[in-house]
Amino acid sequence: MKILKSLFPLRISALFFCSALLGFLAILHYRSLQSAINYREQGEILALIVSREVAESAELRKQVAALEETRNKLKEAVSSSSDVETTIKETIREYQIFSGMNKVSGPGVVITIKRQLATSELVDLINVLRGLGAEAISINGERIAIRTPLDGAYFGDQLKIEAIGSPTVLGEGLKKKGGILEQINKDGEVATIETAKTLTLMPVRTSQFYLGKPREL
Amino acid sequence: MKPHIHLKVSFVLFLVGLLVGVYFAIQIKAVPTRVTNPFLPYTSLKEASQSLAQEIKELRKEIVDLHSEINQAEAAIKASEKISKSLIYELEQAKSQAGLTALSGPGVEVILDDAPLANSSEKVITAADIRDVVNLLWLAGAEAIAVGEERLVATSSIDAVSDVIFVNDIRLMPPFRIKAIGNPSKLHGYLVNPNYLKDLHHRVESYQLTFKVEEQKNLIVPAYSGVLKSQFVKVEQ
Repeated sequence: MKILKSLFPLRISALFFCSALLGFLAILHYRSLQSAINYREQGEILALIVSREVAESAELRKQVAALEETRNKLKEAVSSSSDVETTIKETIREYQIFSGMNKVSGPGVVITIKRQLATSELVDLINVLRGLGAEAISINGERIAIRTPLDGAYFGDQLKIEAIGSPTVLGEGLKKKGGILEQINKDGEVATIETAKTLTLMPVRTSQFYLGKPREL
Repeated sequence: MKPHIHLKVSFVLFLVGLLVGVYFAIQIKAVPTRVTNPFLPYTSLKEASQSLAQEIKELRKEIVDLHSEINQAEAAIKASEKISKSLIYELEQAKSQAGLTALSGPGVEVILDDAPLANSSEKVITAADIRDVVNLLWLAGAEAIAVGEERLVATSSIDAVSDVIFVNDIRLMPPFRIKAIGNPSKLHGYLVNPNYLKDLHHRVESYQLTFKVEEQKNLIVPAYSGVLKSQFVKVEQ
């Protein structure tokens, strides 16, 4: 005991203990701050996911309503004799819009770009337009259907991209801070966007299936 | 102990005690006045997300059921012979072209997955990687593509929120399976060609991301389970 006391006098031990306590508390404080920051970051990401899920749920409700309308029309058509052909023709026209097989018109936006885009930039831009609800798209007068491959070099260094959809949603979505247009314009103002009351887009050249067969159910 | 040494020790201990006191004061002041636990808002968001995911699942099921009822009604119309066979054929073609019919045929299945230790953005499969693979498959002549069980149609987008990938607004988790109908050897050749997908090939080599391409004699690409309804487009006669 005497040896211990001589090696570690009481005052030194007290000082050591207080310092250790202080160090321990400081680390505890740092860790709790870090943990709060992590949860805040994860919370922000989760908030984005939740907002996306809210939008998706609203969209699905709309889809359910639209399908119910189609089902009711078809059921009525089955029981009556007059409207069957009209209903089927309307349905075909609606489907053909989305396979790009019809000449179509409507409001939207026109994006003019004065440089060649890398294929990845073009893919991203068309993906953004689809995400913003564009119903028909063309590049330099060529209709872009889902199966149309995108090649930056093919479309050259003067691009006129027309997209039919809500002019407000498309316009604001494209101009969003940190968005696709800002990325394209990062080395100089090459891309501009204008809204249009009416755009007319031509149909795709071909969209036949050669290998894919309707699945036998 | 000599009095002056005692004084020094007391002074040092006083300083340390003061620091501990200041520390506690800071801790108490740092506590937010309303939300005391940073985990709470996160938990409520997590709960909201889970309940929304359940709601979305139920709505998707309702949509599948409605599609089935529509198919039955269409079949009844066909059987009643109220419309011509050519119109029926046109309807089936239009549905198929729009992606509303499941297709089967030869093609490839691509599997993409994060690196075993995915601790940086270069080691994970991104939405941009999937978009690039899909675009290359179209370039190689693919006729129909699905990512996971999500058929790609004219309104499809492949996006990400942080590292969560959404296709047709459906959340997908790795590994990502892409099925494409087309000429298997041609599709395969394009995917493994080092002149395409340079960034992905580089990351596969450097960080062991998974990028497998399997040729298949017959695979099934599911029908789009959503709805294609135009709001702004009018057909020009």
